[in-house]
Amino acid sequence: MSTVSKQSSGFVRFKKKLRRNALIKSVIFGLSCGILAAAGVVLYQKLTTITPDPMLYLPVGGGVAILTGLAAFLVLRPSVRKIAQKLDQDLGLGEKVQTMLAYQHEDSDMLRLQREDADRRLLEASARRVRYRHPWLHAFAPALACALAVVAVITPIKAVEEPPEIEEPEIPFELSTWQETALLELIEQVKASKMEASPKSATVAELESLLEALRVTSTEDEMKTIVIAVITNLNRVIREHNSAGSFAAAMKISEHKDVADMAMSMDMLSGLELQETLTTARENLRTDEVAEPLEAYISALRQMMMSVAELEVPENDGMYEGFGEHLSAMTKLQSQVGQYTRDWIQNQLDDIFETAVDDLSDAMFIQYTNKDVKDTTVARLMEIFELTEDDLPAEEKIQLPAADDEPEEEEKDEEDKGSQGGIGNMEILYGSDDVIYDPNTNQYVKYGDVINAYYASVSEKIIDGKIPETLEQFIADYFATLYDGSEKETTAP
Amino acid sequence: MENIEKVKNFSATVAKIKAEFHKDVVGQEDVLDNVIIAIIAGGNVLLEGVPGVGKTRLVRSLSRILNLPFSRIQFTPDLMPSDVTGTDVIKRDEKGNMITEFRKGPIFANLILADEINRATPKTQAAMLEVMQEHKITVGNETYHLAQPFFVMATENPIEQDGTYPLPEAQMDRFIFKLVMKFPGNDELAGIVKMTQMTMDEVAETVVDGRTVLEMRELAKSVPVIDDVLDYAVRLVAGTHPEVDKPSDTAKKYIKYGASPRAAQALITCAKVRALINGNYNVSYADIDALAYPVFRHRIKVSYAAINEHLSVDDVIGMLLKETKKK
Repeated sequence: MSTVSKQSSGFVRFKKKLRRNALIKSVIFGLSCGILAAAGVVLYQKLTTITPDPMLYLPVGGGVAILTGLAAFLVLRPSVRKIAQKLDQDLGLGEKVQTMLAYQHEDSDMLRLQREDADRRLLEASARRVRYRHPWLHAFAPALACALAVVAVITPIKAVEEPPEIEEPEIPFELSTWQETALLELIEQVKASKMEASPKSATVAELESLLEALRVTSTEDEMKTIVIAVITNLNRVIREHNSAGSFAAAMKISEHKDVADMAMSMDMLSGLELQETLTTARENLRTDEVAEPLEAYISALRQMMMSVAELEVPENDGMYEGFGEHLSAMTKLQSQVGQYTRDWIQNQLDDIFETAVDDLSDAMFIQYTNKDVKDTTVARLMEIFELTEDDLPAEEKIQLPAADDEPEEEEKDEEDKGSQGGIGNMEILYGSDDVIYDPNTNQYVKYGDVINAYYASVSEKIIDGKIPETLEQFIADYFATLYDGSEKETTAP
Repeated sequence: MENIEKVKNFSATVAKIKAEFHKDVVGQEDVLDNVIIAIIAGGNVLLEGVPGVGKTRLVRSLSRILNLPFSRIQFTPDLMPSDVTGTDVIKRDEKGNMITEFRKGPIFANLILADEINRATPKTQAAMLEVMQEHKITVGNETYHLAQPFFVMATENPIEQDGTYPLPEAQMDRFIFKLVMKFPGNDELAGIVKMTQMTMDEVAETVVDGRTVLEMRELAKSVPVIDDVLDYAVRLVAGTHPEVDKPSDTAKKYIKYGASPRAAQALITCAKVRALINGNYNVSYADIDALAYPVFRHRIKVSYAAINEHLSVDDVIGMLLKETKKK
């Protein structure tokens, strides 16, 4: 037998309504809680400088909505007894519905009358009389949720507070007496050096302006800026003055192998390397049929000179003059091929190349000296003003020898001095701590560390006859000067 | 089916009774309603009222309406119990032999007005109250059952205090209700005067008989009452007791002695009748609330605190009703 809660149509009507109301209230409550939770997450993220992530607040809001909605429904879903109580109360039925429910399993005339009476009154009653109590309470949660949602939407993401810039206190700078003296000495050293006049005057002018500027400089940053600017200018002066770079660029694109090989000697500013490549070129012309190779060589030289001219190398440049003379001599010889004997042509070639080696080695040496003095000046500046390679712009960096290696290398040099083929065990005094650029390793090294190797190499070349005789004495005197510690000036032949 | 018709007609029957009542009694709606309830419920009523408000007239009218014999017993200090119940008298039979014959007292009626019961001695009061309780009289070896329905309306004169014997609380408890007949208002008084100018006699006509009243009583017993309402009635009665574990605030402060379990029985029994009278087929909280006053009025004794604060018994009952929560 079905219960009265299912039999009584009046009761069923209200039961459906009240349970539907409970469901709606639960859904509203759940949604409100979900929106509150999602809005809370969004607000939290925004206030902690995080961009709101839908993958976080949507699941959180959805989960909270579902859980709270379910919980609310379990709480709010009225039991049949509660429904009966509410109906009696709201409809003023005087416990008729509750009585009908309580005695639904019993039967008597009175109970039947009671049930009929209760059901009739339920059917007659207006559903509107069954209302929510305190409806404003049910609107509170959604209102709060909407308010918080609006706040969360309109709240901007808090900007990341950048840490305040820590102004490092400016380190004061004052040109010390020692620094001033060292700088003045450096100026004198440059003046006394064998740098060519033009770059020398420019270098001296830079150093003098540096001194003036540093006398009024008050901060270390400013000092470094000024010194680095001077170093940059010194590098530019030599780069623009020395033509070896232009020749190297022109030679690299030559299709003649011998000419192209000369490029490396230009890059390295190595007279010995240049001599080797010229010797190789000479040997390649030692053929019975010299006309063709001669033509090719001359053509390559001519092309190279044209390229160099386009790079605006001045005509009075030593290297330019040397190669110009070499080209003229070769051209003149070429016109004499066929008129003279093969042996005579070869002898002429020997003379021409010998002259070229002399001229170009001299020119190379001059440019090498320019660069060498510049590099020494730059190294000294860095030493005086305690700059490191890291202070320099990338394009101005030079590689200085590591300080840690010096003692070992010095020790090694001390031990191996004899084995390197130097002049016995004579102590190297003069210029041993000077820094020079080593083209072989593309590093700056102390002269004392490499001088023995240099001397050995030169000695071999002398023995092999690859050094012109006119230079032999000069080289010998040069190394002798270094080894005996005197400041005897050696002059090139 | 017949019963259903009787149940459905219950309210109409009572309405007829009331309509006839108003032919003889002006106003006093509350008293009339509760008297009808008491009769149907099978209880007795203690009526308080100043002289001339219609206490005797009410019972007389009731006897006419219900077509039931009526007796009025005027209690005086010299009234003996046998004056109420009856006594054996000696007489000669037909043969001339001396025999005893029980002469029934005025108690042998359906409707009794025990006027100024507080004037009688406690012994006479006890005899009267015992009859009210037992509905029978034992004289010698003979037991005489009183006719049903048996209804006693006792009155107390609230004016005279000298030479009276106030009913003890234990005896008061036997009355299902205590009703108060207030002095009529001006309009009601005018109505009384107009009514009684033509004749002082009651003119109400018979509407139902005693058997019908008994049937109505049986019908009322079957009116359902849910546990929550029953519990409410029980909590009300318990709430009149200051000595229980968790007394109500009202009892703690304003009640000296609380109501007996008869009060709970009276509440439910009379609530059932009231429900039917109002056309309902179940007892409600409203029924209990309405009957709380007549049921508790003579059953609780207020404390000195209530007296000091000039709180009447009805005031205290009202406070108790407010304090006791419904489910």
